[in-house]
Amino acid sequence: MEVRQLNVHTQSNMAIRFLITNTNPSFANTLRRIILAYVPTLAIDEVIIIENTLALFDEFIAHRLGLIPLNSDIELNDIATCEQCEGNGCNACTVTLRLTQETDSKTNLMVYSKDIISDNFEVYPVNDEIPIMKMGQDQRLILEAVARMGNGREHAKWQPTSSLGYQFMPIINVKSGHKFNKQVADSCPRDVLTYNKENQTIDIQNLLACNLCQECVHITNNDITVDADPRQIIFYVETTGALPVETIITKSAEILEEKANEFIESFQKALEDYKDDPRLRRKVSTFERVSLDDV
Amino acid sequence: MKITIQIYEKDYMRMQIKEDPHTLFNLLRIVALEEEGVTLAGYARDRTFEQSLMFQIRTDGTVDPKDALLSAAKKVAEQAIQFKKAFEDTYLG
Repeated sequence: MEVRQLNVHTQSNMAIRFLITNTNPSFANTLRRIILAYVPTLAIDEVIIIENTLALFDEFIAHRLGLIPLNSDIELNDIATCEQCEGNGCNACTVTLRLTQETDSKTNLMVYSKDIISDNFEVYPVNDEIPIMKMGQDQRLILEAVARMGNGREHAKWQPTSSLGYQFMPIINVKSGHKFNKQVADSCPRDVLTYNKENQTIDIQNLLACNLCQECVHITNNDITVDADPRQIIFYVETTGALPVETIITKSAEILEEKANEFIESFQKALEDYKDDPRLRRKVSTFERVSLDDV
Repeated sequence: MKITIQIYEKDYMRMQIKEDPHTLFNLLRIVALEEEGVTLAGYARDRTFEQSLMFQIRTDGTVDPKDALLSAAKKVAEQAIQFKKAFEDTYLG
């Protein structure tokens, strides 16, 4: 298995695109599922509203605060297994953030994510300009929010990525010696093909942009063929900013390794516990679904 | 991860596993099928609203299904390490 760097889309290193060779689609899908559901990040999970005279309900504000990505590149305990507080929340597993805003009788105010003040200097909203709510005149909002580590299985606010996917490597074959017209190159929505006016041929200019739409195949009646190679996978990851994109990927590989090792451990334990139960054996055929609860 | 082995024969093994089905076991199934002597490897969700699955593996009799599955799981872990190393070499190295 090899990893090759492809073009980086954004200047701020928020997204990367890379090619995994000598792999299979199941591995890429496992990686994708782990990134979405198991890579932990930090998000606001509990909000204590001290005063709220806004038109918006408390729950509404709490939900919006939860969706703000926080910088999660720090070491924090998992609250469920924190030894110091036994799940009640302490400095080792939670971070407190505060938001206080007030308007007078003349002004309206837009509250942005930059107005959130964190107790921990390492934890802050990744973007200052995320609008949270609009305050009318003579309104006051005082609240305290508690952020904790979680993963995407619990709620989508803990997902580290905003855009994530993979595709197979395209293989485009242009029939040699055949004369094409310019419409063929124009038919491609991703500008993968270019037209060579002198020789009346089609050149492949930007292979990685191909999204396997098969438009060129239809227009040339199979003089051009587009196939996909499932052993070479183009992987695309864009982070919300909560974690650096490289960290997300290395962490997901670590989690996969942990999961495989956990399976080996549990499997060996299950082999020790296994007892040949003749009652179960009688009932079972290969395609019949039977669980131990039914016996 | 709680595993309960339901059937264990010379060429066949079936178990119930309390775990998210598609994440690890889809990959494990594909890797197990590449093992020598394995003729069937697959999983099915046996509960609608729970994280639970039924995994089965059948061999042609020359290999113990236990050994084939353990070897496949080790290969999955190796693949993860290999990918991590390849990624780090490219981006962080």
